[in-house]
Amino acid sequence: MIRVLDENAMSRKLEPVCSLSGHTDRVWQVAWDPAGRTLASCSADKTVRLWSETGAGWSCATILADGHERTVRGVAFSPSGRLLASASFDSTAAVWDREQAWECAATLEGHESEVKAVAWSRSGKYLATCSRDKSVWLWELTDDRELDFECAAVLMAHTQDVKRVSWSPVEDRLASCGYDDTVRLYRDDGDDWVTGAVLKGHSSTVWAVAWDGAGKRIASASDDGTVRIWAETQPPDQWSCVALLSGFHQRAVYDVAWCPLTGLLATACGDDAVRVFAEEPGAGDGGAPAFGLVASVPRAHGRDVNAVSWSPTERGLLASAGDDNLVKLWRVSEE
Amino acid sequence: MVSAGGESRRLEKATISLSDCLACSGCVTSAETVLIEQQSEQQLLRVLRENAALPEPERRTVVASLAPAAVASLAAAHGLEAAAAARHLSGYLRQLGVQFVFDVGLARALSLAEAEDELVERLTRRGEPDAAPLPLLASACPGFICYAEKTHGKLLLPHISRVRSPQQVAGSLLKRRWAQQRGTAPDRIYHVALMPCFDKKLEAARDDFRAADGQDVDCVITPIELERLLEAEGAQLADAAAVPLDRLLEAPELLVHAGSGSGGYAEHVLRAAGRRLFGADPGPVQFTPGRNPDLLEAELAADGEVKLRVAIANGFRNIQNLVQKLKRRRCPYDYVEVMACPSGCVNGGAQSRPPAELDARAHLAEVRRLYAALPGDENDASDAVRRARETVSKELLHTEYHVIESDTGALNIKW
Repeated sequence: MIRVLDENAMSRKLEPVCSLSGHTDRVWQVAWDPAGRTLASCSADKTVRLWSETGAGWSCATILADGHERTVRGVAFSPSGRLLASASFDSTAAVWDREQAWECAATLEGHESEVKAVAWSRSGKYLATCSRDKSVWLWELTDDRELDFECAAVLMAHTQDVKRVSWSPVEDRLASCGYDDTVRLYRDDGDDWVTGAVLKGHSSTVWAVAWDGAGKRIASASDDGTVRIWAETQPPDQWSCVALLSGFHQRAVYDVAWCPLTGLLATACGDDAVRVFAEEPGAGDGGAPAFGLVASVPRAHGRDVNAVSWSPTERGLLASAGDDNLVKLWRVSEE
Repeated sequence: MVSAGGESRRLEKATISLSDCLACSGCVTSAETVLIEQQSEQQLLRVLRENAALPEPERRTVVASLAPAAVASLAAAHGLEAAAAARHLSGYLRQLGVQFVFDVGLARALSLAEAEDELVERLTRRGEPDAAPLPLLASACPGFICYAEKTHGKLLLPHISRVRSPQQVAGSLLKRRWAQQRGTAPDRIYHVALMPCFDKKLEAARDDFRAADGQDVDCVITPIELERLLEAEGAQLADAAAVPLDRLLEAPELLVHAGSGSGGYAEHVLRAAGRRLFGADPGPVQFTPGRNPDLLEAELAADGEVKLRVAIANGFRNIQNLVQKLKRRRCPYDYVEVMACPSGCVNGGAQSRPPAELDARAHLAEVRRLYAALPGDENDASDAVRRARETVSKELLHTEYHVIESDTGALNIKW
């Protein structure tokens, strides 16, 4: 059942702030630096662009080219904001250093095929990468000055292409998701990294996972058109699906972002829309969480929306990326 | 097998999948899968049955060689001490139709001696034009060899030791030396090896280990497969008679070595090279863990400075880091004992599963203890080792490697 979207019935509005053009091919992902002042975007045009706001508005401050030989599929800033990691179809991840005028300071090799995503652990100690080769790698920064990384673990839990990795915001615990329709969790058991829970329920590829601000729940976005919310029912490894957002998206949901400031969920969809959901605590069966659609933009991008990302510092500010080669900024109106 | 992700899985039959081997996709092709599947416990039973059905003069002599890691694994799984387990295995295999059962101790002693010579040679010639490069990397792990040949051939192969693994030295000794002494033609011998992982099957099938009269090792079976044989009969290992092993070329029945549960390569070469080049013997080597518990390092100092550095690098993450260091020419070691499995051969991919109630870590500790407790004094064996080295040609103790281009590797991988 697809619910009919009535923009006027939504309790809030998603206002366009600006549209940033420059990339010459589809934009795959956007990521904010921890200060919320720089926005990174990456593209099939093999570059990463850094955007920032000046008196005249948002514009492209830097283009990181010559780092990758193929599509750049994912980007992420380190917790300190000094480093930017990028994931590429050329099978490598690159690390760029703000303190060296964004020079490419390290190239992480080892994956057998396209690297789909990168993510920094909250502590800044680990960088996770995932690939079509079905593996998730953890890299440890071993030298702050030389920017040397060593492989700390190679996790072979997924049975297919791994699409995304995402760290808990409160501890060094990792989630990954992919073409095998599952979300998998990992933690360090002292000697080595081990797989904890496997979250099953989606009926197709899981494109993205995101943790809530408290690090207690996970949202997953799937090719099956739904978003699932999972909660840890019994630490450390028992999780179950506590809410299902179904009937809202007309196509694959390619990304989900969970704002630590507001608790709002944003989604990026293959039907060209960006949607925002708010939690209605206890509104589900037996007091389970439920989420209601509070704002949407049906034609947010001219084509598929690939990514959404909330500003870490400005409430309601949302960035999106699309197959129309554009990066867009939006603001959710207050209630 | 405990994968890098920490999951324990029961392997239903002896098929190799990508995650059984190294954590990479470049390693096992479908052609190799077939080669592996041709060596199984069922295959062994078939050979033994057919052999038994032949008139005696036409039968082949079936011999077995036992790796200590496999023996220790079965010992731990069956609550036996290692030497006892070896003897019950010997009894069990003879029950099945195997005529001679040997420990690989002598073969490994030869491997270690050759590795020592190789390192001393490379260290002596360091800096000379055309000198073979350092670090020298151990060659006993076929998972690593497979990965090196297919993924980093040009970079790694010059560093890899040319010495055959104990499994293959045993094959050389049995089919060339021992056969000759008995007046048996090599093709009248069927050699089965009990090894801790499936990758050893790939090693046995290599063209480099085939002569006109057959492979040096005909079939590799593993503890998992041996357990299946026992299970099929409803038997326990201890039910089989405890029969002493045969002694290969006058070596002791069982011959242990110092050092790791993967053959003690790093330990042996550090002490031997230390003695020969610097007149220093540190005694039993203390390895210190590096960045993770699967990377262990040791040094030898003489005249107040560090002269030698060796490492044990187990598991894919450490192989990756080693490769990166080699690429950047920043590898601090002279010798690295490289093994594909975390914790080394005692934790090989086809070792026996721990009994249900036991924690995997505790079980592994027990396997290690049993391995180290295997009897046999290296000093007692020195005559046998020396004689074997004098009478076996170098060619039979060494091998070569081949860069395998696999740009189209993804297409013939069994996804």
